[in-house]
Amino acid sequence: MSGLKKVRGLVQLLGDGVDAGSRGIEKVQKRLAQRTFDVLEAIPPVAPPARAVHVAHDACVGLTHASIRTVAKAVGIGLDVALDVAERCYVAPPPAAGEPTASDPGRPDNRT
Amino acid sequence: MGKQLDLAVAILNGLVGDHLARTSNALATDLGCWRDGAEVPLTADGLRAAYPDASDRIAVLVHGLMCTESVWQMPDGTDYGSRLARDLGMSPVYVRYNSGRSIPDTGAALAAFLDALIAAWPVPVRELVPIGYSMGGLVVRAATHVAATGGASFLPLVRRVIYVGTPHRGAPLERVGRVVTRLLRSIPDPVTNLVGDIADLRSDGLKDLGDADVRHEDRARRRAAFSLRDPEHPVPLLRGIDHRLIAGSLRGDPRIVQLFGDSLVPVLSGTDGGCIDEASMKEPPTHVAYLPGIDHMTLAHHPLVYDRIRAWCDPREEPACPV
Repeated sequence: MSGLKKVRGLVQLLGDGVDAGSRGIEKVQKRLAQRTFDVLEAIPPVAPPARAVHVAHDACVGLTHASIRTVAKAVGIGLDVALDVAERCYVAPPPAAGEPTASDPGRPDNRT
Repeated sequence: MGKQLDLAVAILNGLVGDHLARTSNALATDLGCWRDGAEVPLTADGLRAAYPDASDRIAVLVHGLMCTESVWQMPDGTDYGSRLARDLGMSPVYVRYNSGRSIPDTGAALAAFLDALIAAWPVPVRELVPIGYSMGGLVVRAATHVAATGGASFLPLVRRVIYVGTPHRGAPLERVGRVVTRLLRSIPDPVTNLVGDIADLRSDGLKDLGDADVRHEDRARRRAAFSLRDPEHPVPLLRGIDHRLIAGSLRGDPRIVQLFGDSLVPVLSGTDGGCIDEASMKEPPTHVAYLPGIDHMTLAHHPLVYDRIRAWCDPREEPACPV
């Protein structure tokens, strides 16, 4: 396995980690808030505004975590493209006719 | 640096290797044969180049969880494979695999690999001697089970299998992990549940060690929620093969030693019930070697373990009582 492949795998794994972590924390934040809102929504005078704040809160949390996941995905795609470019630059083009080959000891082998 | 990076990738594979394989991540290790830090192509030319003095007797060394073939290396640079080549003229084949995949899946991959190895080996193969360390022993069992049920054809070449520190009746540490995870997930608190969810992310391979699951149907069976006892394994060691077991242990009181074994595998599990009390630990059955004072990690590269392996690999040695 080449070094670049490992880096690509690591980037993918980090992306998966951010995605899963963000979803887990989002769930926890919403469930923790739910406890407080459950109490507030059980008191008749404050129930209607509490319900509205609850919806707004959940929407904000959802939006924040969706943004985190989107940015992480975008960074992942960006790094993937950068690695593609690096891979193309790193691998030498095939030798033209008449040129010494990579197995020629006189020429350094720059393949991965 | 290369060896350390390989080890880091192996640890990652052991932790989340099932996820890596499912998501086609480049860090997932494909099962293959490795020698001197390089993968050996499973072709006639590749094997001929890697094994110019190929023998008709092959020792297949299968490492354990979160390891590479470097786990076999002794301080003097030799290992069980190279010593078997030196002493008995066998050819060592070091298998590297993704230890986070489920044991039945890895066993099926190993079975296919062994068939391909035999087909491409430079000389006709007379005998295959699989040597499995820790989880590797269960992977070998899974592979022989696949072959016994018609999924592979290498089985007639296997007369004996050697298990080193293999948890035949499961690993209690993983079962403790399972219990803790279930407890955390059963508490009605979102933060505790999250911690439980994170603990449950550990790989299928790791979870299979708890009850030594070597078949998919074993993985699917219902388990007692909080049982910490050694289960009776539903798949007995395959008949028709001479199974040899090596178990180590920490030093100390026999009852403590029986419980903690080599620190990860209890003596009862490592010997598949061959050593059940102080008397049987002093005089184990002929197919079992019990080596007190050798812990789990050291079992993979200890001269006393090699002495047993060498004796058992000697072609002149008669099979012990079949299990």
